[in-house]
Amino acid sequence: MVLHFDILRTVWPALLRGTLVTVELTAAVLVLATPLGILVAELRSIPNAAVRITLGILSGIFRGIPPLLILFFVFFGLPSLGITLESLPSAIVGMTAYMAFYFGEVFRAGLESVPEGQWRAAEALGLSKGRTMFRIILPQTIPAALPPFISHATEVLKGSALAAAVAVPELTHAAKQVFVVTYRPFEILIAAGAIYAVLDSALLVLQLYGERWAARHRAVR
Amino acid sequence: MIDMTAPDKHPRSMVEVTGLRKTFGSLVALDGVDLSVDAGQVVAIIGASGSGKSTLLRCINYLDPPDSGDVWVNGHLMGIVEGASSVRRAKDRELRRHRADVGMVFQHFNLFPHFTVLQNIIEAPMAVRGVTKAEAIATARELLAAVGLAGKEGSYPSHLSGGQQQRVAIARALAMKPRVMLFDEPTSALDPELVGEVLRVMRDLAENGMTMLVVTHEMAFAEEVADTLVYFDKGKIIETGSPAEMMRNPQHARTQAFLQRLLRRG
Repeated sequence: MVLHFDILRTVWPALLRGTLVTVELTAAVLVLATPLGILVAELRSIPNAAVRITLGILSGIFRGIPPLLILFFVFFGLPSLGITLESLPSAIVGMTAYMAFYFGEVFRAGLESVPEGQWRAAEALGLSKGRTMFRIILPQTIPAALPPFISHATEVLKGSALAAAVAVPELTHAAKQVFVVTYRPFEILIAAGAIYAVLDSALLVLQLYGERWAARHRAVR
Repeated sequence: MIDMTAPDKHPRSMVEVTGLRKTFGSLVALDGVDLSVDAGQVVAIIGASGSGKSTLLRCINYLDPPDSGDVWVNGHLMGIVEGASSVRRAKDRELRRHRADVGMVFQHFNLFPHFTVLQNIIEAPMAVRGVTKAEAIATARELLAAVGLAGKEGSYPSHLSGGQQQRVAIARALAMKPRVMLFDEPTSALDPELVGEVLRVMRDLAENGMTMLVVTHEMAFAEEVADTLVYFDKGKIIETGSPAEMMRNPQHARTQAFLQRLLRRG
């Protein structure tokens, strides 16, 4: 078999457009689901049992059903309730909904890794709860939470291909559209895979940077 | 709005605790504690572990709000706000202001590991007292010099010995300019050779007139520095007196037994 990568010279604008949509979707989901994940983690640690149990059940549901089903539900199901979203927003909403619970688990483990004495010390100094959370506690969750956070972020990036099913013109969708008309699936899919690999490594660079930061500030236990 | 600077109805002592009770489920941690500490006085609190000594300290600064009883610090009732016609529980924000008058030092130091020594000390004065960064840094440098750690501003806690960390923790508490300092077994987590440097800082502090409540097992320190020794058992104060007197001649059988155990252990 002969590879003809010169086909990429013709199709690169389509792949680039797809890449931009993939980056946009992934970034939007990460930006929305991260703070929501922190919120879920915090709410799951409060004394109110009803809130804790409800969130625990929701977390189980959202992490237990196929992501594709959630995307279908938002795109095809919600219009029955009078909520109609375009494909990209519905993919963002659907992915954010389940990723918030994945990140909730990540941050819960992270928060539990910070000794109780840190809260005590901040409280004794008169620091507010919000300031304690953002200045004292969250930065210390980084060593425990960063690796699983990045691995979940990679899942978001890969999972964004599912959005093709609700007609989002992201990278996998774009690749398929161009190989069906050019008949060069092999080269085009390799090119798409290479683009995903580059995007993945951007996340890994973030992880390395974060781990180096955390190592510099590591506590001795 | 309550004026925090005006003297109140209870101006006699710096710390006045009356009828303090605290339970955790079925466990009675404090069972009606009364204690009065004059300004500049040092009170050493001894007792077996689980006797409620640490809970007493945490109730005094309302880290653990007591079930009942009153805590007066510098003439102000902790955790309570008195309006013109009503008395109510302090909101979180108000409680934080009350608490700023009470410094606390923990057994395990609890420094913020991702902050440098300097950041550890200036964080609360800037956030809670509204001190400018320049002022906070100037104060921090003075305090570090006072605890023998000048030049350690840029170090992270993990690079310091336990004794150094505890001295930073003392400086951090002092940076809030508290009226009272609470020490919760400040030397119990330290290697024996590091205990002295922390006790030295505490002795200096006492000599400079700080009001201090110290939960400790360091009997030599208690005898030398404390004005009053308090023996705690099962959530109650069993015996109070001058340290020398009490250690030579404990009145209560349980105090005798405890001191014997402690002295035998060395």
